[in-house]
Amino acid sequence: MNILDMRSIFTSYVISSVISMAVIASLWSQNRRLSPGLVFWLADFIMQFMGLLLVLLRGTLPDFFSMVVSNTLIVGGTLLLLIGLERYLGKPGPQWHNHLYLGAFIVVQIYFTSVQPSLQARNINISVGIFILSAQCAWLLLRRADPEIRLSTRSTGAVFFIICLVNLVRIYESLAVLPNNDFFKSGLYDALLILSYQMLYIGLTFALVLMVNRRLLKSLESDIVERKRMEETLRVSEEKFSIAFQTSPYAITITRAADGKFLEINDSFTALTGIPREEALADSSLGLNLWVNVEDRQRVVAALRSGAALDWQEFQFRKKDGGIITGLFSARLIQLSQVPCILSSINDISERKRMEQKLQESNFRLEEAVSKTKLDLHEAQDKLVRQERLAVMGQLAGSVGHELRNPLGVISNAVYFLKLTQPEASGKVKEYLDLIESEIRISDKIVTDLLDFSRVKSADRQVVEVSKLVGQTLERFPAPGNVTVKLDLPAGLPPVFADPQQMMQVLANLTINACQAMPDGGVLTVSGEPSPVGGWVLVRVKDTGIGIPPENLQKLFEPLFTTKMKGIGLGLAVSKRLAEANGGRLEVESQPGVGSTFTLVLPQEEAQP
Amino acid sequence: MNAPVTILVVDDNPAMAKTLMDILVLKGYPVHLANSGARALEILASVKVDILLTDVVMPEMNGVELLRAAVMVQPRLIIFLMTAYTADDLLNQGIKAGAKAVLTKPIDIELFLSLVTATAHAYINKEMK
Repeated sequence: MNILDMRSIFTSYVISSVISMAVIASLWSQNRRLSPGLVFWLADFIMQFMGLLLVLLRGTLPDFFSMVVSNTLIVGGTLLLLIGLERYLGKPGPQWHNHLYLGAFIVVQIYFTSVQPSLQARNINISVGIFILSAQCAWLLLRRADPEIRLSTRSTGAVFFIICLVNLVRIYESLAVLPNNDFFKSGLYDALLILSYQMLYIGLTFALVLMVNRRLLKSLESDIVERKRMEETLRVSEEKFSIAFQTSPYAITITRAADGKFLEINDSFTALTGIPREEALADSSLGLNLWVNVEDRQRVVAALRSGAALDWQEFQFRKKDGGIITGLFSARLIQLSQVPCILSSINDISERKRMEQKLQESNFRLEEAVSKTKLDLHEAQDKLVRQERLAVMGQLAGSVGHELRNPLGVISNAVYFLKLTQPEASGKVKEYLDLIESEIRISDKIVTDLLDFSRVKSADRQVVEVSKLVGQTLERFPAPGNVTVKLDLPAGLPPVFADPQQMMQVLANLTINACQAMPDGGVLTVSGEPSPVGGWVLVRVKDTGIGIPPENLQKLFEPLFTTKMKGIGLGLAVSKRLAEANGGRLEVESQPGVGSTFTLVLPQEEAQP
Repeated sequence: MNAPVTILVVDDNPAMAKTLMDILVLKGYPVHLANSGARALEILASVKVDILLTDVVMPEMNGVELLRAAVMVQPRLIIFLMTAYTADDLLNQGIKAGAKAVLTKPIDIELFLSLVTATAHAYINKEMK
């Protein structure tokens, strides 16, 4: 009797296989995602356990189960382990030869069980089977595996290598020692071999667990490296963003969409609004009154929430000091830790706006200036045209004046003769003769104006009383019957130094104009007074007529300007010229509908140089 | 009342000359009439005239030329010029050449008559001396 009881050893082997199976099952359940090969490992360990169990039950089960099925499970399980390891290492290879071999193994096993039962032959058959498959496993793990992972597969490969050796020993032993036909009555060598199998089986279990462990460790390491790399990438990208964010010339903020709470702002924002960073981050855009129109912000948030992006929208913002900024506003809705936030930028265009405004204003002024220049040009052109007309008029005036004065002279003589010879004529005839006489005077005056204007006549100045000038003028050119004449010439009025003929011509012009301005009658007032500053006498000719519109006042003294149906527009121009030729001037003030006052300003006797 | 002064009226416009003559005749003065300078000189050569009233602007011989010629014929002649112009070089020449006054057309008859009267008085005074 052997000191090593074969059945006890085998029982222990079966128990070890149960534990190994549990370990591999646990390994599979925890790491099945790691490799699809693990399920083959588990299948192998289950088959090994079942095979060993069937062997243990030899004698209680039919021989077919305990000898053929059991060993087929063990050898087939090993084949599954080979397949599992190939898959685990990513080196799947053809298996047809192993399948063929397995078939052959089964046939041989059946033969030596049922046809010619031989424990020795079966042992050799099994050992050869395990050797063939283990050798492939050892070769796979030690040579076929990629060099960089061979370190982790080496120990497992070594276990398989030892298994191969043990099986070689067993084959040798089986051939050398003729055994009895009862497995459980085998000799010491057999017992030791089975014990080695058990140890190797346990070793294989550990080796496999360690191999997986190595891989896990390695993957963990690479995970850490990968995470570090990602963290670095993230850090660089964050830094890039942060630099862009902080150094942007635009005011950039991140605010909570719900309440406008500031989560981040850049320096430009502080520079633009004058709101310090701490103050902003402790408050919200609403709390700081940033939006001039709060509705603007509501619209912005609503638009962003509906998925729109805002670009270059013009809004107004309030600075800390209350100043208003016009800014181009761009914004995007972003999610920060599941909280909707608004990333926005403000481009201050207040200065640009001001410049635009200024430009517009200066444009406007320019246009105004241009149109004024145009107007001036127009006026100058008008004046030029009038002067041209005047020059032609001057040339015509001489001959026309001369030609007209002769017939006028004849008519005048004829009227004089008629009056002289018809003292007895009826009142009507006398009235008509007077009428002709008066019209001749007016015609003569027009001719005189015309001739005066077409040539420069020097003034023959002398000391003369204003009342005399006014009296003679009104005598020669009496006012019509519907005009009341009022004279206000104080006795103490100083005499003036002027050409009496020319001054009477001026006064005649003024009084005739005044009467013509009152077609329906009125009051003609001629008054005289010394000037407040002294040295001058003011002679005023005032009417209660239709007045002169302000736009005509300027042109009033320009030659050929007239508003009358009769007359050629020389009277006032000549009058002004004559007043100036006598060291004086002619002024006018008028109110439409009320009347006009012409003031002839003449130097006093002593005032002349 | 009128002194015996003879007046010669010269104007190329016959109507002017005739109306003036009619008025002067009506006022009692002996009047001669000429429509040109040449005709006036003919009259001056044959008749004694005290006052010459002549138009300035006339064809062929103007009033100033007539004036110069007339005083050669009758040195004591008193000459008045008539003109349609208010100012003219010719008028200045006339005044320099001895014209007593320049009357602007249409002539102020009253003014002219007073000048004639004054001349007549001066003439009478002279005669009486």
